[in-house]
Amino acid sequence: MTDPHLKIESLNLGLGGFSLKNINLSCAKSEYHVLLGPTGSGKSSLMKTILGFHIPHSGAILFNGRDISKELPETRNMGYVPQNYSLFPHLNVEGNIRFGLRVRKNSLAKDDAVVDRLCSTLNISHLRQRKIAFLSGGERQKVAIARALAIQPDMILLDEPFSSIDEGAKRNLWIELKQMMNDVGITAFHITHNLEEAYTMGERLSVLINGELLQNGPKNEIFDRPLTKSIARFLNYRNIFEGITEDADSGTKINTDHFNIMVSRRLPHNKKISFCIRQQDIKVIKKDEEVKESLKRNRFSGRIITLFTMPEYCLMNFRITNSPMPHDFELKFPRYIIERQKLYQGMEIDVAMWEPNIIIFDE
Amino acid sequence: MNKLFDIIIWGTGALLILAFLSLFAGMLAELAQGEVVKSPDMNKIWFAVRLSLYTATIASIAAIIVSIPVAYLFSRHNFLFKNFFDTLLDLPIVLSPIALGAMLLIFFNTPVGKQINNLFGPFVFEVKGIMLAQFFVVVGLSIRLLKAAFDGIDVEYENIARTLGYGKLRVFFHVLMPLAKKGIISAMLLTWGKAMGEYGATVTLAGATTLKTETIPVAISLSFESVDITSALVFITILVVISFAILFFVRSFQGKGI
Repeated sequence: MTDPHLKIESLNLGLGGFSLKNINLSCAKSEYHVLLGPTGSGKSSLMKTILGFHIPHSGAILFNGRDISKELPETRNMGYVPQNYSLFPHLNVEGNIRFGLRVRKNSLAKDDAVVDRLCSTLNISHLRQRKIAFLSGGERQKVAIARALAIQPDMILLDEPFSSIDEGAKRNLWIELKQMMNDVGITAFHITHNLEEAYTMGERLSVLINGELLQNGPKNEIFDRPLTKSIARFLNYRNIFEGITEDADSGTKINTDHFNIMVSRRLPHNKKISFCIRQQDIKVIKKDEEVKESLKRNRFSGRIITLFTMPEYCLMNFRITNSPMPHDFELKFPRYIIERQKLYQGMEIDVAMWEPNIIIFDE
Repeated sequence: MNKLFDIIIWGTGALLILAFLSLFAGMLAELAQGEVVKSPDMNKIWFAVRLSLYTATIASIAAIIVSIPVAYLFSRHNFLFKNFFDTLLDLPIVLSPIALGAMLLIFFNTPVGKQINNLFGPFVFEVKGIMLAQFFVVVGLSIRLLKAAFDGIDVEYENIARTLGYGKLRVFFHVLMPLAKKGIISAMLLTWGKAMGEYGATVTLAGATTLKTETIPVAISLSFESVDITSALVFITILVVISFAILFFVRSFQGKGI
C-alpha cells in the first residue's frame, strides 16, 4: 500500500450506550475502501466521525498527514453521499449539484464547467432541470454523487449507497459506480453490510463488528482468511467448530468430539481452538472415488440429510456416520454437481476438504 | 360488527359537526331577529378590529422570531434538564390565560418588573400590555409547532450542507429555513389566530377599557356586559370568520406539499 491518504489511529468514541473501540484503519490515495459490518456495528458512526460530526474521545484521524480530528465538517473537503441521498427537495437537480459551489468563490464559468463535466460523466445532463421528486433511485444516487464531487473533494464517503436501489438494478450500478470512481480517480470510502457489494466494489476491506475493527486488508484475504469467528459468522460461513488439539505424526489432530480434523501445522498440544471450513470448500466425493493424497486426510463418510436447490447453487446438509449431531457440515456447490453425481436426499456419500482451506482462528 | 363500527364513527362525526353548525346557526338566527338588531357602533367595531389586528400581528411575529431559534435548539440538541425546560415552555399552552395574565401583572410589581416597565413600557393597562399578554399566551404554541416542523426535517440535509462547506448559520438559512418554510408559515398563521382570540391574559394585564385596550374578545365581553347583543354578535362573527379562514388556509396550504 502506498502512503495512506486517510489514517485512523487508536480512535475511541462513546455514543450513549454504544462505542467505537480502538479503531485503526488506513486507506491509500485513489483506493476504493469498503467498510463492512452488520447493521448496528458502528459503520455510520465511524463515517460520521471521519466527516467531523462526532469528535473522537481519543486517537487521531490523519488526512493527507494532517490531524483533522477536531476540524469542523465544512473545512474537511470530504464529499458525502448519505444512505437515502438527502437531495434538497426545494432545489432541482442542477441546484443540488451547484449547492456546494455557491459558498466557494469560483468564477461562474469555472462552476459551469464543473457542473457540465459532472453531468456528462454521470450521464445526467438530461435531468438538470428536473425536480428531485421525479427522479428514480439510480438517478438520485448519481445526482447525490455529482453534488458530492462538485466541490472537488479529496475523498468521497458513501453510506450504504445502494440501500434505496431495487435488487435487480444493484449489480449493474455496483460496476458503474466503481468505474465512475476509477475515472474520477478519487479515494472512496464506502460502507455496507452487503457481502456481495463489498466483494464486488472493494479493493481493500475493513470489517467492523460491535464497534471493533476486527480485520483490515485486501478483499481476498478477508473472505479467504477471516481472523475471528465473529467475522466468519458475519461472512455467513457455517461450518465453525471448536476442538482440542492433539499431537499427531504428521501435524496436529483437532478433536471436536464427533469428528477429527488433521492439519499439518504444529499447534500447541491440548489447546482449545476454533476453526472453520467454508461451505464451498467441502468437496462431494462418490463412495468408491479415489482422491488426491491431500484430500484423503480429511475424508468423511456419511449421508445427505437435506438437499436444497437454489437458482444459482445448491446447499446440502451432511451427517458423518454415527455422528450424534443432526448434521455436521453444510456444503455449497454448483447445481450441475447434483446431476453429475446423481445426488439425492438420504444418499450415502463421502465428503473431503483440502487442508489449506481449513481456517484456524487466532482468537 | 363492522357495520356497528361504521355507524359509531360516522354518527359521532355527524353529531359533533351538527353541534358546531348549531352554534353558528343559533348566532346567525339571533342576529337576524329584528328586536336584537340595532345599529352597531361602527367606530367601536373598527377600533377593536384594528387593535386586534395590530396587537396580534406584532405579538405573533415576536413569538415566531423568538420561537425559531428556541425550537431549533430543542429539536436538534440534547442538554441537561432539557425535559424540564421543554415542559416549562409548554406551560402557557395549558395554563389558564387569566393565571398567566395575573403572573405578568404581579411581575410588573416586582423591582425588576418595574424597571422593565419603565424602560420598555408602560405595559399595565396599556396597548403594549395586550401585545405582551398575547405574546406569552402564544409563544408556547409557536415553539411547539416550529419544533414539530424542524423535527420533520431529516438532519442529514444539514450534515450534507456542512460537508459541502456551509457553516451552521448558512445551513440554517440556506437549508433549514427553506425546508421549514411551510411549517413556519403555518405556525405564524395559527399563532396569529390564537393571539386574535386571546382574552384572559389581555384583560388581566391590560384591562378592558373601551376604545383603549378593547380588542375583539374584550369587546365581546364588554358588549355582553352592557347588554349590547348586536355588537357582541358582530364581533363574534368577525372572530369566527377570521379563525375559520386561517384554519382553512393552513389546511389547504399544508395539503399542497409546497
